[in-house]
Amino acid sequence: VDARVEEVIEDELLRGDNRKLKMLSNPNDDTIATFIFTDEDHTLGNLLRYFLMKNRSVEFAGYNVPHPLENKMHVRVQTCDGSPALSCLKKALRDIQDVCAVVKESFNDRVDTYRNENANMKTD
Amino acid sequence: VDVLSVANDSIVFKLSNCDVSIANALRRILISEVPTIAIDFVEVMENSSVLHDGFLAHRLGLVPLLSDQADEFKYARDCNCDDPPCQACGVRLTLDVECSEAGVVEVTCGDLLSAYEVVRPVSQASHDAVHAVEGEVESRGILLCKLVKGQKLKLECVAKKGIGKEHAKWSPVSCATFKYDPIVELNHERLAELTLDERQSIAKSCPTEVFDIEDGKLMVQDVARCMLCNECTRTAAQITAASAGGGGGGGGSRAPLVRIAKDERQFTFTVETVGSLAPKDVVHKALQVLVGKVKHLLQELPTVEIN
Repeated sequence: VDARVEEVIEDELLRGDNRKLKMLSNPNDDTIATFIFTDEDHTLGNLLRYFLMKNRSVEFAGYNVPHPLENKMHVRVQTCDGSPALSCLKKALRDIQDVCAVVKESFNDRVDTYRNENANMKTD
Repeated sequence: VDVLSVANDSIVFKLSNCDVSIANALRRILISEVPTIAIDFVEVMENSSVLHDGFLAHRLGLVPLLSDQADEFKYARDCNCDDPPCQACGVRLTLDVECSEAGVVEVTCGDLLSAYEVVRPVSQASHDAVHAVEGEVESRGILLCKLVKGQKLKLECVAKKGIGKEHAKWSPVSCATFKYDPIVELNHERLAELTLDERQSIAKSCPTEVFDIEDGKLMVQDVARCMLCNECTRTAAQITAASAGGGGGGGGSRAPLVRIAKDERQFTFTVETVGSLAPKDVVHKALQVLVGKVKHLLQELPTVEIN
């Protein structure tokens, strides 16, 4: 029974800080925030940073991976016109979604076109 | 997006009007986050071959398995089954080869028998040319081990779903690269002032034959072959320096003979797969993974903990 209890406690300790996304900011000022992502790396970090910088209300956007052995990624956002940092992040994510949808559709379209063209060539 | 070529094991396509961060994210996901199925657990019943158990297990893990159904499987850590692996999180494969006559018996991945037909080692057999690797001589499969008379190999494997991040055996690509599309501009006005020999030396300095001399004029024959190595610019600069000699003061302000630049919004991707997934499927899945990541984050946003 004791072993089982130990297992549960350890599980909780390990999982406790494993939320996908945490936000650190001053409760009085929501225009500046540092977001901590778990299980993310440069793949998403660079992407988010680029899309955040495209946003005119973002004054500062940067990301870093504090330590390569820990799967955490920090993104810092500072806005210059009073809009909350969280909503800038949301917008950036939505923009990424849109771009991906376009690329996916375009890619599938083109692959089918290529296939059809080549199938026709073969029969000729 | 523009697809340039599709082969059985590779695909070349162009991505335009995107930033490098999208291209890089796609490349990173292609290499390390597209799920495939590979052998992850090996139980050795009998092994009298020259290779030790761990060696064989390592080789077995690297064997590419057809992974079109990878999405239907659960990760073993997420599965609640009592007796792993169950149908939903893993596939059993067995290998049983014995060498009873004189001579050498080659144990290949063609000897691996799968409990679930759909997930089996990639092979070159003609009926199985689903994702066959091009250019290979018809063979029974990847060589795992060689046995001599009296040696026997009997083992049971479990293949599970995973991603390249955890171990390279789960990476569906052997090579996923992208490069900027080059821009090559020639200043014909100034080039006309050079001798034919000098123009020829510029053309020859290019290691990939981007240039050609037509009617004594230097022309760009194939922009796509440019590697952005700047050999031609260097040769051109040498020529300018040599001819300017003492009067080098005015040289710097004139436009360069050859200008090499990269088009920062156009990328050419080359993706070569290992056989576990078809090239167009790999790219499609990679894009799906990216979309999934973003979706997951958007879902988490409302419940973000604020400190």
